[in-house]
Amino acid sequence: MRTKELVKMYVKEFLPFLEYALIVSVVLLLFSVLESEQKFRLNDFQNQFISIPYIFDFFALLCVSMNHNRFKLAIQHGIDRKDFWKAKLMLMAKASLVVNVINLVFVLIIMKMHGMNSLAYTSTYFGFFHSYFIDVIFMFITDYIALLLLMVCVNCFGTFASLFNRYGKICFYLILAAMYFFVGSILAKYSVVASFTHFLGRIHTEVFLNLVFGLYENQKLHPYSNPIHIIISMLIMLAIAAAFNLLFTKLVQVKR
Amino acid sequence: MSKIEIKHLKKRFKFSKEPLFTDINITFEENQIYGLFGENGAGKSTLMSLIADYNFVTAGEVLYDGEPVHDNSKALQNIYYMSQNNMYNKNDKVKKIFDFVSKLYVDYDVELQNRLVKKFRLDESQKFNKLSTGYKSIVRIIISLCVPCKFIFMDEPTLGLDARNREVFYTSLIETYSENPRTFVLSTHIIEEIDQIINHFILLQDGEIKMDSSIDDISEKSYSISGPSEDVDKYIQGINVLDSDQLGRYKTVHFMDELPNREKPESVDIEKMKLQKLLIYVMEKEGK
Repeated sequence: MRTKELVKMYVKEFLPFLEYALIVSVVLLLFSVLESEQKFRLNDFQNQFISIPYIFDFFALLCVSMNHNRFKLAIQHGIDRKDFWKAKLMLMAKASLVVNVINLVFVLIIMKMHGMNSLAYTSTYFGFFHSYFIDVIFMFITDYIALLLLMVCVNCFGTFASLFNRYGKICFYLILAAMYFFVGSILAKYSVVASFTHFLGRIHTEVFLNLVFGLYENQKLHPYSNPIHIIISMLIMLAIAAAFNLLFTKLVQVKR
Repeated sequence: MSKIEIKHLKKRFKFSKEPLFTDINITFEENQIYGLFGENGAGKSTLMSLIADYNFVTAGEVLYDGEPVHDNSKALQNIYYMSQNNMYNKNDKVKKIFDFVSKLYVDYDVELQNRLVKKFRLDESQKFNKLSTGYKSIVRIIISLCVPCKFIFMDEPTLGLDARNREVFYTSLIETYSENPRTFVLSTHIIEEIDQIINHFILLQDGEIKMDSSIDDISEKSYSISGPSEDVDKYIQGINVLDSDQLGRYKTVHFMDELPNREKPESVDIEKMKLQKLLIYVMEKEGK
């Protein structure tokens, strides 16, 4: 009962983030229309429209990343760390559901505006079930699990960072930034990319791509990829991320 | 009867040279009011936070009815820690905070909450971050007194409270304790105000519990004797004196012992030693 009340409170805190996402989306759409010196171009408006689902995703991620206050409040009222972890997951599950319902509307509009090839999912998986309705259902499920996985990973990251004090956090972020620049700089070297491509050519990547992403090498034989594979892969990754999230949550302490 | 036991508790913060606690052993029984005292930095707040599972021990155990408190929801539901830090959303109104807390506890005393709001003259429509320091403490106090937990730890509950509100707090505490006995552990520096309320005295110093006694036991053996210095000296001959104050001919001595087995001169007054005096003496003695 206490966990459910906590989740209700967290969901109430989440709703303003949807308002912020809506405001930002409207502002960006207006700018796309107004910034052109010439008359209104439908193209600019349509191009900007594609970014709206990502804006909602971003604000949902922002909401779940600000977590330490929720943790302190839970601990204050005698809710143990495992129950708090359950409350977090329930919040993320509900938030992901709400955002995906909103995004589904936008995605269907985008598909009408730009056609099936406008989005990564629709160009890869849409049509596998030969039924528009079932394809939409599976698109919704895939997006839902993808956003939920992303939320759990972001929350995991934030929970891990909260284990450190200020100096520890600085070191942690510096190491992350260094890794990012290091990877970016080695990928810029042609020799590294060439070696990696050669390596991929020697291993049977098509088996891996089919198993994890449901992608087929032979497009003529299999014009549409299987979304069930990617759903299962993401569910496995979600379970692993959630397990790490629990591990880190159990380690968090309230700072004085 | 439930109890919280702390056994061989050690705590060292990362990168600190000295451990905060070296060996804490104490038991909190049910339906008592404890006063937890110690110098600044002795670790009173940290001890409470360890009991409430806010932070983790380095070694040792914190047990509730024999079970470790850590990640034990059954134990944690019966322990409430009112810390000095604010845990609530600053932008929430006080009424919303109270409503939220009342939903978290099945037997939250809403009636008591409403009475206390009136007594403290708290404006529930205010946002929490707009309240003064004293009224923020009052919000925390009200919640602490209304939660149906068996063990309530209050860290500096009177922080920022004026004299009137401190009086309201003490009388409310006694009233609710009489109606619904449970354990309160109060950490405060205003000893002279709570020595009439607490029935158990705990002194935390140098990483250990230096004193853990009931107030009755302390009162039985601690006295302040005052009067003309020659009469006082004659009366207390052979007694080990803790401290003495002299003003001209008039002398006051403080000691912890049985009263001398001789007739008391009429000019000499005997009273129970004030807890503050005893505490200062013990802290200074241990500090040497």
